[in-house]
Amino acid sequence: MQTVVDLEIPTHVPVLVLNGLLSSDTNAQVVVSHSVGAFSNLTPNYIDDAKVQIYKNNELQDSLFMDISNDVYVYFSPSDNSIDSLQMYYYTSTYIPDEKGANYRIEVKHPDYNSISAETYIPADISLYNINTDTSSIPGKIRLTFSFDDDSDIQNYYALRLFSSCTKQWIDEYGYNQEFGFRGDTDFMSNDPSFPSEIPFDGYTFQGDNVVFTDALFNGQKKTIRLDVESELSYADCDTVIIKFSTFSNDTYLYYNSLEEHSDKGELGLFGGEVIPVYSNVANGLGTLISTNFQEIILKP
Amino acid sequence: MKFFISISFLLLISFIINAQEKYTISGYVSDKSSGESIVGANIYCEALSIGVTSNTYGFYSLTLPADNYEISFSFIGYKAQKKSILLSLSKRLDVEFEPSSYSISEIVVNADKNIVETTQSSLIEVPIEQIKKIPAFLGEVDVLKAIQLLPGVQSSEGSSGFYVRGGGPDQNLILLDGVPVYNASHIGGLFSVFNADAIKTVRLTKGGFPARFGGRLSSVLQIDMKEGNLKKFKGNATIGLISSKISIEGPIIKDKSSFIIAGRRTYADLIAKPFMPPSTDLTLYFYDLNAKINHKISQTDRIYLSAYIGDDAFGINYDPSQQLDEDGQRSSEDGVLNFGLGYGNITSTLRWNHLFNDKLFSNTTLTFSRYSFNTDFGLFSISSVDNGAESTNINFGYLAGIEDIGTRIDFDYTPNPNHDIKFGSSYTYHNFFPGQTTLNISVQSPDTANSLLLDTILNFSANTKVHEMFFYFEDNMKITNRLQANIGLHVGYYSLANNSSQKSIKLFDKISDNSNYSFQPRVSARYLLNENWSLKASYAKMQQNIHLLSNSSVGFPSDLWVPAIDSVPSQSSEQWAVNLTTQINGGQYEVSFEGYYKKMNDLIAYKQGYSNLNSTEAWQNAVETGGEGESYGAELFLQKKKGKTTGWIGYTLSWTNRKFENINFGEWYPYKYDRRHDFSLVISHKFNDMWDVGATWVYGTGNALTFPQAVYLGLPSSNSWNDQLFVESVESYGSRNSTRLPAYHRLDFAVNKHIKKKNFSSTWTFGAYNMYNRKNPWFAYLDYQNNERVANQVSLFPLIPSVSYRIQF
Repeated sequence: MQTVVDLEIPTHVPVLVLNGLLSSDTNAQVVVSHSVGAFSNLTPNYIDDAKVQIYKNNELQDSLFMDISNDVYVYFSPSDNSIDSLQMYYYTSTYIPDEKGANYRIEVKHPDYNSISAETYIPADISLYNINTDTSSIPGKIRLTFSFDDDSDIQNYYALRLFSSCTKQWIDEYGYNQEFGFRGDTDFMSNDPSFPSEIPFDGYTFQGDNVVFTDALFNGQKKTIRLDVESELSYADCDTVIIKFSTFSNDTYLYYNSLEEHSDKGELGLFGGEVIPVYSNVANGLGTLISTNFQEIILKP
Repeated sequence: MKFFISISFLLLISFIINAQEKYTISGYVSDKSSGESIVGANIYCEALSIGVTSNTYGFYSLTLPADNYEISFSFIGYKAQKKSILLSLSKRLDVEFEPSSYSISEIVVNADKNIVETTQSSLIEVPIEQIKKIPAFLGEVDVLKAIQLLPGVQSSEGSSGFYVRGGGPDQNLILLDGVPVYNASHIGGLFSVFNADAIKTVRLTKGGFPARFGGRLSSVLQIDMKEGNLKKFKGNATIGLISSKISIEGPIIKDKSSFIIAGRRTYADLIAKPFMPPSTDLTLYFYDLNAKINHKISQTDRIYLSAYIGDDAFGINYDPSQQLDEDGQRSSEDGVLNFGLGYGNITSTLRWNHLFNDKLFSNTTLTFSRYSFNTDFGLFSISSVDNGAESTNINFGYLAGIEDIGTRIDFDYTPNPNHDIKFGSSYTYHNFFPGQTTLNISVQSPDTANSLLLDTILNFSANTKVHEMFFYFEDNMKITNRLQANIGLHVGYYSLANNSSQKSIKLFDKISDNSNYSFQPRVSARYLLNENWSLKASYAKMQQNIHLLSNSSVGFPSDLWVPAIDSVPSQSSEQWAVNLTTQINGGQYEVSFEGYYKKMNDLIAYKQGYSNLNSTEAWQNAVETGGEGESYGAELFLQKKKGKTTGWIGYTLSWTNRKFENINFGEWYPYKYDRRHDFSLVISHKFNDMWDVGATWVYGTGNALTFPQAVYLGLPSSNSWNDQLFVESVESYGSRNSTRLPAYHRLDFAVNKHIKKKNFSSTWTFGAYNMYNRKNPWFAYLDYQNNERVANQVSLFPLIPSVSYRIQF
């Protein structure tokens, strides 16, 4: 039996929402919106008249202004399985938050809402070496290997994604041209103990197209990562193969982890435990300000 | 510690001195018609205003100065007796009680001052006959459902689990004949494992724990089985909508030994079988079996052997080859798929009562308890290949549980009416097996290159063995005519047993390690304001060395019992309670008003979002530790035990909160079962020998839950294929458990018609659960209807009528 009911929910006063990903090689760029109550008929929307400023180690660096010349329509999924689109504006600056280890804070003010702020830091650079592609040792699989040295002074967070673009063309037995291709994030497998482990399948404890992990098991040591890729297409058929390797701030790790678990498990409620709120580090408001030091290992071209 | 030893020594000296000019009346109190011993009967000397009560085995001992006395013997539901005794030497006096009718005029109440006079507060005993009169879900009388109606006890819809004074479901020690029962539910909590036909007494202790109790923080529920009729054969059988049960009891040797055996089984699968397709074989039932025998070896020795076994089974076996097609031919489809889920308890107890003398009684117990949960999945198929047939057989199994072997000895020493001393010791060897997975894959093919054989066991959490022991001493002492106190100390010992994966530690080193001990003082006191009013207070420190990992709100049988280990320490609590008790109208009504405050430490909870249903992580890596809890409130209990109309009113006003470093940003939040108001009305009325009715009405504040409070736009992210940006709406939940479900309330009703014949009697029971068809909340979720966000509530049970027929012979 299901019934629509009124619940005793604390009243929600709409607040400013700040979202931004600061990267060491990109101009500072954030978006500002507002929240609505869970049962409000209104749609949360972007705000175009806020005052936004960026600070480094508590010193004002610059103001961020709305980039009217660059309005972007974003696909919007309001959780009811429908798809809508929203007009979104970035608040941008020419300022690049590129000092590794520095704390960056963004403050947002608007006359209709309480002021909000959020803080993050840019992780240090990391050098990757011993990069190797082995296409012959394991039948049907390609093994990608690389190493890096973990910094023992701080807790580090890493993320890996594998991107490939491969196309194969051939003429079949009837003389017709055939083509098969793939472009996008690519599944990989690993037995790395730092990766989340699942019931072993096909000899691997991890399978997926991205992974987030910490240095808890190799703090301050050399770390070698091995990824095996199922090869329906031969390596020679691929024109692009890129390992996207990111070093995260703690905020970024918490955000992506909670977002993934929230999406995976949703409202666990009855059978699966408590819900996982998406991480927010915005004081007096909602949203998240995160940062990354992003690197690409271009294996091809 | 020194303080308690000194007190004990002084008390011992005083007993020796005082005992010289006094004599003792002692014996057993039993039911005249069945020979069943009576627990808690009052033996009272009005001249000296001194009384005692019979213990769990019906034994009492009353020591008085030499004189001529009139001694009253009384117990609810029985005719009170007065006996004149010339006490010039110690004597044995066994007393048999005759059941009373319901007529108020027959009841002698002046000797029954139990609730006012007793030292212990926070203790409620519910007569099993009263439980049988409470309207029951689907007509199935349930002990735990009755317990849920008491003040200070919270529950959830459709579950036999209960939460006492803000504690978790694992913090209740449920004892069946002294043996812990680790999962007391059938069908995931719809019914309890206790067959009311086999039960004699039910007592719930919520606070003011005497030193003899330990191992749990929140409550002790003692359920004792009947011993079996020593006089004549008796039996009864009940046919209900979902189950039938039968019990038979009688003497093996009249007045010396007896037995009782009671069984119950549901038959949903038998009813469903004719409607199932031939290809599908359904298993869906639970059963339980209680058995007990006892034998009086001599005037001073008696032994009891009792056992319980119960199982729930659910399974589906799908074999398409059994399916007939339109032409009546067997399907050519092959392959067999089966899934099974089962869980159950086995308990057994061997007890030996020994009377050393008229003042010293002992009970020695050997116990065994096992709870296990298992699931199985199997797939078998045969397929044709080029040069023959290839068979594939996949079997997956999961087993988790706990097994205990224990021994315990208790002494009951009554040197004089001013002291009732209990002391003893207990040892339990726990074996936890918190999750073992077996995987067996066999592929047999004519082409050996394609054949495969895999047979492996995966232990995501290691088996753990544990030693748990305790010693206790308590003295229920009369300090003045008005002031009485029960002072005791419970000393617990707990250590992990050595196993192959741990460093071997010598036994002596373990025993001499102070960190393995816990000292738990217990104090309760009663002050008589006048003959009808008493004020009581209590303090109890408790420690619990095992945890239950549960992250579902319904209490799954898959919930794991796990031991305290270095990284997940034992839970502990301290509880203070103050109680005001009175009797009204000559004892016809009992009223108790009690306030309490409980503080809990080292609680655990699953990490946010963790689900034990889909994780392979070792349990200790999946929990938050070091949790704090607090619970406080007030309880009102008004009970009418006598007369044609009986029942009670219970009301609880309470708060209970939790705090974990990594949950709710380290802030306090309401526990899921934080319930501001909880009210229950239980009433039964006997019109005449043929008709009686019963009704219950319950009301409770809605459960706390974490629910979306706001919606906002998330961080835009790009699609790696075409770089199109998209953004998801994100729900903000606010503080954990900051939303309330609607209130819960429900009325149940039952009518009983009793028919008495020469050789048997029978009862028809017509009942209705949720009479006014209230859609009570079970859980709620955020939903979208007509493009609007709404809270959708799921309810379990509408109005459910029931009928059952019971025959007694």
